[in-house]
Amino acid sequence: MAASLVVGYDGTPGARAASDEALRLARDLGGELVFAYCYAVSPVGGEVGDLEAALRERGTAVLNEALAQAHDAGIAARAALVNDRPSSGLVGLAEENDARMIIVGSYGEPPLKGALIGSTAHKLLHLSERPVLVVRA
Amino acid sequence: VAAEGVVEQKGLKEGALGFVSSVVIGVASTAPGYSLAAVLTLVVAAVGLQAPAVLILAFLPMLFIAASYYYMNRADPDCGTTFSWVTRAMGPSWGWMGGWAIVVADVIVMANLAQIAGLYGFLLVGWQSAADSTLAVTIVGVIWIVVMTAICVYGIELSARTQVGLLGAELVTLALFAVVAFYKVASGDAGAGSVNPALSWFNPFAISSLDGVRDGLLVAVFIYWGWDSTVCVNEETSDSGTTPGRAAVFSTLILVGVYVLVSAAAISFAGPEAIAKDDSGDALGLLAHSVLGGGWDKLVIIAVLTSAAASTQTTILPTARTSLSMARAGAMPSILGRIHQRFQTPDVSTVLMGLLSIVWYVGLTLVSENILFDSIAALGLMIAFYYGITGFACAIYYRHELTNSVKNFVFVGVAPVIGGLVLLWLFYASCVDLSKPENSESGDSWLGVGPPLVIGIGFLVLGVVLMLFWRGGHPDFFRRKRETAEPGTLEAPPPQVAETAGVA
Repeated sequence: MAASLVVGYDGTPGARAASDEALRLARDLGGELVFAYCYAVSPVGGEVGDLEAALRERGTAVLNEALAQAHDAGIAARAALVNDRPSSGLVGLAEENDARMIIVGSYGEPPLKGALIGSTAHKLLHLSERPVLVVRA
Repeated sequence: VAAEGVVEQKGLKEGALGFVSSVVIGVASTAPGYSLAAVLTLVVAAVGLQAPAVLILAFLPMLFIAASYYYMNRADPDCGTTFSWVTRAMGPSWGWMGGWAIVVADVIVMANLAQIAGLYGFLLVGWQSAADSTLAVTIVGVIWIVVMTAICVYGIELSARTQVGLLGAELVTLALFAVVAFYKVASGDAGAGSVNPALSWFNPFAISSLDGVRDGLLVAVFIYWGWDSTVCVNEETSDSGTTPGRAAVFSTLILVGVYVLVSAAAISFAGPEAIAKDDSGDALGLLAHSVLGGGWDKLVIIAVLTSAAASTQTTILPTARTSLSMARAGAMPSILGRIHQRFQTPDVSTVLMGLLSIVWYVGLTLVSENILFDSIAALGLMIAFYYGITGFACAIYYRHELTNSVKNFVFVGVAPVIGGLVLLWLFYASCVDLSKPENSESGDSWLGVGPPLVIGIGFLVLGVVLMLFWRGGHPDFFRRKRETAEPGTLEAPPPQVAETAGVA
């Protein structure tokens, strides 16, 4: 069986663009999609439990949305809710699944802004040992 | 092909924090540099030479309240605040008021943080005339709140290593200040007002008046505020032989040590009268200039600013999360529970807190000249209120467990109740004292009483009104029943954090 493709998916327009491209790639290359919603709550802020619960709810909802889309397109897909920062969570998931590549969306914002507020796509380019595909929203 | 559903998994990084990170979170949240900058004048004005002793004494009730945080966290881990615990133990109305007090304390302290940031920002660039201008300081203060709020919405975090570095620099700088001050006193270079340090400064029994203790405590609940966060983070306990809570003990020692050392050094160098009389709002910065001089004093100013930044963040984050918790429980409008799709932070809560802080800060600055001092007394009232009820909540929640062992009785029952009683007394005695306008630092009179009392009581009354209003339309939350601890909760091992990931 062909290797899987890991898709960072948080339900935002960038993630939808990534997911659309991933569906096309899976159709062309074969293999399975692994959608991932990553979340990490800073312990500095106290009151971790409720924020994590809210994020898990949201993550489950958007992942089910992505799974439904893959199902409609006839593509095999799984989904994982990962309690980790997006960059390291996606890298870890890609390793575990021996993924062929990681696919994420971008918002097309200026690089400096991305560096300031934190761009997962940018971090992945440096951290991932596997190919990374960035799809512009 | 069918969808297989969503699998949950831990990330590769462990969820638990190591010893150093736990200590850093505790100390940085308490923000010793900023706290000293904010209260040095106040505490010296209250007890003079006995300032170090009051700072030692004042720690005891905080320690007792910290015990209640520690044990409530055992029952309800990761929910590090009063709202959920007090709701369980004492019912929804008390829980609501506890959550409200946290939110209010946040809004009040933001004015103070913004003010310190403005003052010390101008001191850093050596622009004294701007530091003396209320308008200029307020503008920088508002920008400070906006930037820090944005940082919290975007979820920007410093790396653990950077945090350790900043905190280390802060502590080393404060120690340097103290050592040089003592050295100059000993060598006779300290100027006219200097006093040789004496052991009696550190002796709590040498404090002559109960009024001094009361005022000192009111200030001290503020400077130790935030320390409890160490107790609530799940410290890594995977290697056996280590006890959870050792980070809490260690960060305590650091805090008490820094406060005692720096206050003693400042008093010794400048003399109590000179410090007590200072009305610039930036006594520590000015002292640093005379003590270190030659540009080295900028280090102290930078330490205060980084500390204020850390404190601003550890103020905004928990408060926004408290209102998120309250919204999810149906105790506040559900919009406050909204999470930003991309940044994964409670954006509505956070921005609202920022806006309220700005309105409060600017409003208070327009009304009262001396907000720095009066806001801290009002803040002390608010913290005493919610720490106090948390202490009682712990004993109430575990009331059936207290007779299981002497340890339970002392640490889960007696200590939190004593802490609660001390804070209750402090709240009451301070209210009586502050009802006389001449006792507020600004000497202003609002409605015939001191501004801190109007602020403190006014917010609590507003809280009751809002709660009754909310209760009218949304009774569900207020139907929640009080709970007691599951039998054996205290005997069970502390919550362990799972090791690393399993494969999905």
